[in-house]
Amino acid sequence: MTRQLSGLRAWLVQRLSALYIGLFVLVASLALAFDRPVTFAQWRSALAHPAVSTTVLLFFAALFVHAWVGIRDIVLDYARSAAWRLGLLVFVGFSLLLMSAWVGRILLEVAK
Amino acid sequence: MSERKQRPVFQGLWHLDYPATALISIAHRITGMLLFLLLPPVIYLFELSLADEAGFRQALSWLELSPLRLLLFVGLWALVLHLFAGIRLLLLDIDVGVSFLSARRSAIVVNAAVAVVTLAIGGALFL
Repeated sequence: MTRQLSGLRAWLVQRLSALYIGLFVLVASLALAFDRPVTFAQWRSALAHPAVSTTVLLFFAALFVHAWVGIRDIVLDYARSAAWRLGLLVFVGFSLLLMSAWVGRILLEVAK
Repeated sequence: MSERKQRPVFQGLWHLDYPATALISIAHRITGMLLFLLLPPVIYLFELSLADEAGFRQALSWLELSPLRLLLFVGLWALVLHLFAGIRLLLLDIDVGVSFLSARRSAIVVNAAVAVVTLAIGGALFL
């Protein structure tokens, strides 16, 4: 997994995902500031809207990829042995995959 | 490997002078780590709030409890700092503000902006 996200590719992925995340956070903050859903029905229907659920799904995808590159940098900087590096990267990678599946299920359930 | 153990290591990290650029750099890394650790509870709250009416109210009421409200505030501070410091880094990537003085100035600007926005969020959450 790390070979596919090494060097320039990881750098690019981190920057591109950062741009999308930044834009999403900006738009979402404005939307919540000016049109906050107050009831459960409003909240759920807001997220059920196809444009919203798609951009939210992409947001999480970008977020998890961005987090992977960042945490990998930290692990590579501070983990002292190859065993620790491999163990930590596998653990983090697996956690991110689990969370991706979790978020996917959440949004799928809302879209019904 | 044994030669490495005999080499001296500087332990006095607390005694060094750190410019704004160094502080913002490590803060960017630390907040990134913190945000990562906050992901599971955040996703859990997200799921809970969407499950049903009771879940929605439960999620909101949990965020009213003082310790969780404080954690929310810390999380939002971390997000703001990581985001603003990240924007500074993206600008540096396209060669904006790379000179020594501009880099230090932009670090100070980011710190000030983070403080302002965090205070505003704190006001909104706690007042």
